Amino acid sequence: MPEFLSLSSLLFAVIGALSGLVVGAIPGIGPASLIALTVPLTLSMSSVDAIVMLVGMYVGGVSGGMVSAALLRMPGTPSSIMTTLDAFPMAQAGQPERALAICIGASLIGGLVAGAVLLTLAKPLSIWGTYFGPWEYFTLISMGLVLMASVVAGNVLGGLMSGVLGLLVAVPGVSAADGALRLTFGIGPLVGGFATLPVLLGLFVVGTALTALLKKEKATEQIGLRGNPVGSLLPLFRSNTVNLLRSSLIGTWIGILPGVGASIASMVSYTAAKSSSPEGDKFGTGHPGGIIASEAANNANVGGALIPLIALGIPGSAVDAILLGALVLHNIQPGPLLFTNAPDLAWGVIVSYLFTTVLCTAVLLGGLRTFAAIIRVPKALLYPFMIVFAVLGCYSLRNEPFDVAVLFAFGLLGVLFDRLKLPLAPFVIGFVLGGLAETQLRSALMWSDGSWLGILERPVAVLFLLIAIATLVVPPLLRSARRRATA
Amino acid sequence: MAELVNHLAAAIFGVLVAVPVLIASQWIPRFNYDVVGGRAFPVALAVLLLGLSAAKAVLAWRAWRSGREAGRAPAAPVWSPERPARVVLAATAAYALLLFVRVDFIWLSGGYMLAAGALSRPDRRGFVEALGMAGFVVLALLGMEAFLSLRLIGR
Repeated sequence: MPEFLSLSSLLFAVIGALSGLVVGAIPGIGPASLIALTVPLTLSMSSVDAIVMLVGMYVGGVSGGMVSAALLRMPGTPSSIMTTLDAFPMAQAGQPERALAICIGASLIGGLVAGAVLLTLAKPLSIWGTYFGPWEYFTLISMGLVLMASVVAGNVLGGLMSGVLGLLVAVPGVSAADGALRLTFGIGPLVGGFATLPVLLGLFVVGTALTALLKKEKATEQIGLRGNPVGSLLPLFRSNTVNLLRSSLIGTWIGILPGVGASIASMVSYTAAKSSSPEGDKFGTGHPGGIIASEAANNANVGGALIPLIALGIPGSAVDAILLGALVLHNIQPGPLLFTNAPDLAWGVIVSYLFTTVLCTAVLLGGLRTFAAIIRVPKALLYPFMIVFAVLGCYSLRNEPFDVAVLFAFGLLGVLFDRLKLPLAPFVIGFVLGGLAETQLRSALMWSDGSWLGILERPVAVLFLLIAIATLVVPPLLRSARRRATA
Repeated sequence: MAELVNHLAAAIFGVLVAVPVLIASQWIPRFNYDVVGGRAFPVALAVLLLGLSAAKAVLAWRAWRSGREAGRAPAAPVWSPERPARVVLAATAAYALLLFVRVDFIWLSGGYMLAAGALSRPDRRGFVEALGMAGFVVLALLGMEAFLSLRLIGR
């Protein structure tokens, strides 16, 4: 029997999904913090059990975000922002159970559609990926970084700065290509470079906690639950079949694109649903179509983002970058050879995704009242708790006090990024893939005797490069053309 | 005003990172067999970062000009945590510093939880909640140390 179907793996998937749901329901934390915090604890586990649990946390975390979005108008995760627009007004109008039931049902369908795509596409894509050479890998990483940087409207520069900073943080230490010592500034423990875990824990746990503590939170009234939510869902979903399928496919497709993320997926599918619905003007006032579009897309996005991660080793979002870091810590390199070298792990990710998607639906339907109570955890206890376990996690990795200093330094960097409005996701992708990007670039240039023209012999690499350039150049050109037309 | 500060601070931050990288890159050795060399990548990134910082500086200048034309808008408060959050932040800063003087990690963490929770809500319920949480953390860490053979700071 494959390891991913063993009792222990299923148990870890359940633990992951439940903890993801709890953390996802609490506004301000999100699956990234939870997964970063859990990675050190998984080092003594088998890699399949570990990754199955982390995927469960990812799915649970995104699913849990809907609870606070509907009952508090505070999205538990950024991907639930669009859910608040219709779920909260519906809950306010006396139908909180119905709002949550629609969220849960749409999430399930979105997750299953993405699961089907993941099941069908991941292996063929990984086979295609085996034909990739250094130029393809370098341009793919560059394209991912540019796409991720350009997602934040009006802050492309900030996104690019963040990505370049991430790439720079990956440089210090012994160079993988030639063994030269670089940018250690005389700091002994930096010879091995910045360890992945303290950086990720610093940004996503300490940084998240400090950023939240530095912001004034508005007191919000929580809507209570009364009855059982499931009831008239089937007719509603039948009348919204097109919306459900379209949103699920949009979510999956945006997930496959490196770096775009679940919040953009839910925004795009919400806009598509609104513009194509005859009741579009009622969106934002508690319309079920809006809830379906947002929740189907954000859950489908998780499955979509797992496709480039396991097939090409390229993370689709910050959470996927943390998963990639976890895999590397377990001595597994995701990418085209994953299905050959570690088939249990590759299939484990897919099965765990499908299993936890169904499990989260059952748990949410059964325990809505519990989740409604969890979202009121006092922050003064929650954040110190997270910080203590982040310190424990990063110190226990190699008993190095320097890592604790790195943890707090990157926590402060996370706060600085928030203040400077620099998005964190490109930084993380740059940091996690920086070493690979440089190694591939140097191999490619060595291959073509130092000539950049070697790229022209690789059509796929040229395509990736053109997409990256178009992503940067086309939107400003369109904007200026529109401005000229209106002037 | 907030936009101006943001762009300017991002530009300064970029320069503060890029310049030391450019200087330190001069000491990276170059090997004859390597057509690219270990210096090229960090130098290229630092130069790119300087370019992006310059673009941010231009945006800051534009924001300053448009701000002058529109009249000064009141600056938004940048650091405004609420009282309980201020307590947790102070406790966290103290905790982070004490970790480096090698105080026993488990009891220090318990004390941190208790201080953060009880001081941010100075009533009976706040104290009881904080005490419960601190006790849980101490027990969890003791258990982890015993069963997972973790080496903890200061022990």
